[in-house]
Amino acid sequence: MKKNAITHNLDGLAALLLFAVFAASVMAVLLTGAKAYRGVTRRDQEAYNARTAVQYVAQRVRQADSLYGITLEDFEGVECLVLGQGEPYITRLYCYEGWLMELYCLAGESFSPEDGERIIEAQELKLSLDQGMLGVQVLTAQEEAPGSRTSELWLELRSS
Amino acid sequence: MERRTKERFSPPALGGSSLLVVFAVLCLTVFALLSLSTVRADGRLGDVAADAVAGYYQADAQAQEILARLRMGEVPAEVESRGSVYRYSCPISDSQQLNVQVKVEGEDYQILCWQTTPSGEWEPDNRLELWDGE
Amino acid sequence: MKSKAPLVMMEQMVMILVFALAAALCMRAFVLSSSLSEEAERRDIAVLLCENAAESCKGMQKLGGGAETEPYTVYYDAGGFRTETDPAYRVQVEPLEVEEPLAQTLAKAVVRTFDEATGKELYHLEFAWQREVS
Repeated sequence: MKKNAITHNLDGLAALLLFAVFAASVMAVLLTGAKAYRGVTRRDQEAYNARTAVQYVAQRVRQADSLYGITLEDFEGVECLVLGQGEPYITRLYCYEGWLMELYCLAGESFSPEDGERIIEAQELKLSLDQGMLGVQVLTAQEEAPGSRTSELWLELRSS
Repeated sequence: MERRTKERFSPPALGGSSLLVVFAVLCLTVFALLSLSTVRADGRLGDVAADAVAGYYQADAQAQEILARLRMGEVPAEVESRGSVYRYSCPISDSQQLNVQVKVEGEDYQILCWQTTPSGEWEPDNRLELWDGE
Repeated sequence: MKSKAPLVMMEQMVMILVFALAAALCMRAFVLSSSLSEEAERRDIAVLLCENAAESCKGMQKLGGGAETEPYTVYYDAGGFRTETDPAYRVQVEPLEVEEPLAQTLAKAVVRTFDEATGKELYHLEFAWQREVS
């Protein structure tokens, strides 16, 4: 009888231990799966932000490419690309408070950077314009990721 | 009769591990499917962006060719002219075109406008009832 | 009372087998989505590099850099920046033939971006620019 009781205890203990190990392995696999999913979506989001920011600026420049129509200016301390120079309405593209912003407004009217519309998240927008070559560098970053991503685009202004 | 010794370590209930496995497989499947669909959707967006860039450069090359012909004294049929200023457009896609305005004098030229514009018809959004002044 | 432990253990064995099978399939899906994501990211960078090469080439012509008659190759790292060591991308610009008499005023080229590790072409663009008549 006592032998029977010991066997039953050992059987139960073995089953319990096996279940515990199995449950721990299942949890580990689930956590790995969740980590993999998070990694994939974060990489996709970073690539989307970087690609979209730069292509958006390129598209806006191509929509406004006319003689003397594109200039750089300082917009209350913020580096800014001005499109449609010489027309009644101008478009300003700049980076402000972690966002790529666009401000479509009457030329000559005073506005401030916070009046613009948020387009996409971006930490920095560096611009250069030299002899008809416009250089655009957009720095995009994810909050969770420690690193950041710089995308650089060069555009030859056809009408210059 | 001796009383049976109570079992100190009772095994987990029958069906417990089945429940655990069902839950785990469900979670894993959802994660896997979400990953795949997210990546595929992003891939399609990337394809559209790449096609848009290719479309622009194709239109740009076409416009450059027309400009080259103008510089050689040839005026293609699709080009409108007003004195030495020529206007023409090249399709980029179903919804966009490249509008070009250029001043050509012999082999010298000056590009006045090289802009991407929408080519479809503009449809006004009349959902809001706006005050017309009366 | 018979112990249910053997039944429970048998059930756990079967569930381990089922879970292993399901986990293997799901892991394959994760690996596939990861590789698709990497491929899409590489293609995005390739599109940008091709655009930059095309625009730089056009800009050089405008600045009087002379017509590019020789093909040239530039190497870029994984982040899309120029490098001489450990390149991830290879960008090749090759001039294209333009039929006469258009060749007097028009030049064409094609830019291709390759994955340096696999040698696979990721993207290409054809572009044109005005040739200055001497």
